[in-house]
Amino acid sequence: MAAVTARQGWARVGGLVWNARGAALLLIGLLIYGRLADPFGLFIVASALVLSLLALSVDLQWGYAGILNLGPAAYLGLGAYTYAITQRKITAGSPTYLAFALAILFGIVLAVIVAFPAFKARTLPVYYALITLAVALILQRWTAVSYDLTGGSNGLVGIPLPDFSLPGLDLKMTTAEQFFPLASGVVVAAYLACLWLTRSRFGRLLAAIRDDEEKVATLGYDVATTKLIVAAIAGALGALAGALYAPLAGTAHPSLFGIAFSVQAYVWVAVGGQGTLIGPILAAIALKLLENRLRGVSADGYLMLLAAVFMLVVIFLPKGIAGLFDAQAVRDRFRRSRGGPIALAPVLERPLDEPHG
Amino acid sequence: MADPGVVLRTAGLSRHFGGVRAVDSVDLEVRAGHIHCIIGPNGAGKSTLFNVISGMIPATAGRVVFQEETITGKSPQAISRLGLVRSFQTPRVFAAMTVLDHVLLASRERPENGARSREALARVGLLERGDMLAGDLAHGEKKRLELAMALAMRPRLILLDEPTAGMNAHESEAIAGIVREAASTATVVVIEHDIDFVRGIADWVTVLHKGMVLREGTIAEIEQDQEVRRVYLGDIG
Repeated sequence: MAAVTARQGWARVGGLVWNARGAALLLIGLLIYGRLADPFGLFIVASALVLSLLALSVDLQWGYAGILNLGPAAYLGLGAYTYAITQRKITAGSPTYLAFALAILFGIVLAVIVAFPAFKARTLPVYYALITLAVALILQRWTAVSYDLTGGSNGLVGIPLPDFSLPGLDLKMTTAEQFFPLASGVVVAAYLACLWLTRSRFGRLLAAIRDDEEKVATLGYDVATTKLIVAAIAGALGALAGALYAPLAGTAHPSLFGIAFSVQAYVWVAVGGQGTLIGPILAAIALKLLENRLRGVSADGYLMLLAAVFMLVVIFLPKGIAGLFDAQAVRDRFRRSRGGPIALAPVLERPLDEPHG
Repeated sequence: MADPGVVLRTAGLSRHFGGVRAVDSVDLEVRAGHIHCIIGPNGAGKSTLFNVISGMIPATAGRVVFQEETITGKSPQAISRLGLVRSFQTPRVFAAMTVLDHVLLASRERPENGARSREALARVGLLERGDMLAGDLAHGEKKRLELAMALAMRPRLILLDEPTAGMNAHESEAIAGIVREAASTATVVVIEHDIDFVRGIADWVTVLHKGMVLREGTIAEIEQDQEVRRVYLGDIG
């Protein structure tokens, strides 16, 4: 009896150390890169890091809780515009704390507004996916026509870099290179927070919900509220990504809400490894650097290569690149005990509603 | 007048699927401490009855009263929290989760003090399997894991949907022992096809046929009944 607990306890600690080691390696790699790379390289990797927060939000929802949100970019755009508008209209020239706080708050609020009625009404997952897609498209459209507030289809430009100054302490960023350590720190911190969350009892509850919501409900758990919490955390992450992306790019434009950013996040999650957290971050960096190399040659060529990589990974590496380093995933791959390569099936299944027995 | 000995009562409970009356005006009384078996041919509405009682599908008409409280229309989680738990005909386990984690999820215990969970695993004979992934268990073991999850929740009433389906006689006998022991702390309602199994555990038997209650009584009375023999027991010899 005790042996079982002790062994489980050690396995858990071991797993945590192993994964935290991933975070440490990531941080060291980023620090070295920060020393060696040229400003443009730093900009590319910083934007990959910032956008990888959006991928983390997708992985948390899709990879861990089985929630299919097809419009994660809604939060990217919301965070970007909240940061930009706050910094232009409310706290111009002042530290950017309020802009970040509002972005995260609005991210959570939007997630709750979208998810609450759907989860409480036990909306079919496929409809929820369509609702989230529609929300992103509506926001994109609305942003493009609201000239007074959002600058319409031209977007907003001249968005200032973050400023974390405190009384008597000047922490205002002046160059884009200074952004790189900020992005690195935020992503590593977000990764560790997600890791802690998914390894906790709450994380196990999420995994159970992903596999079989109905069964979890019969165990007395409030599935809707649990999923709502995940959606809210993901909303906060996505909005944070936007609030960091706007100052890095210097602009906010309606395409931030667009399908391209949403799809990109999903590709990173699938290629990096669904349900691995570290995988999507590594995929974001690798694919962004690859994109940058190939853009010079041919923009279309990159997209085709990306599509090819996506298909190959989905077919041959169901758990993504990160799955290569996961003994369990390798075992699963050879055993092929569960359905298709990417676990869409449990997401799309209908709830039980037919006569039998 | 409510009978204090009745823990679960359904009154005129119906569930229709289009023109199909899967459950048709069922009045059921389950007495506290009993092992109450529900038998009937395939398609008699047994599983649908469980689905309606446990809140997984809404009733078309009628009501369900559990411990003097009307639970019709309540969510599955609310019903479960009141102490009415269920298992499924096809075991529903989380393939990538360990056996112990399943029971911890059900008991809401922390891994470091999972006494109740381990006790539940011991009761169904799965303690040695605690570290295994549930997906790697044999079919019968999965069914026992579901039973352990139900027990770990310390329920007042357990609904078991064919706990011995797909098991051999030896395994069925072990399940009968577990069910009898479970009945010392909870009331148990069992859907079952295996009449030998029912004979070994039932305090009371309800026969469902075409969504309606055909007969009720002790197993001896049921086995003597000509009508039951004609529609059901005759079939399975």
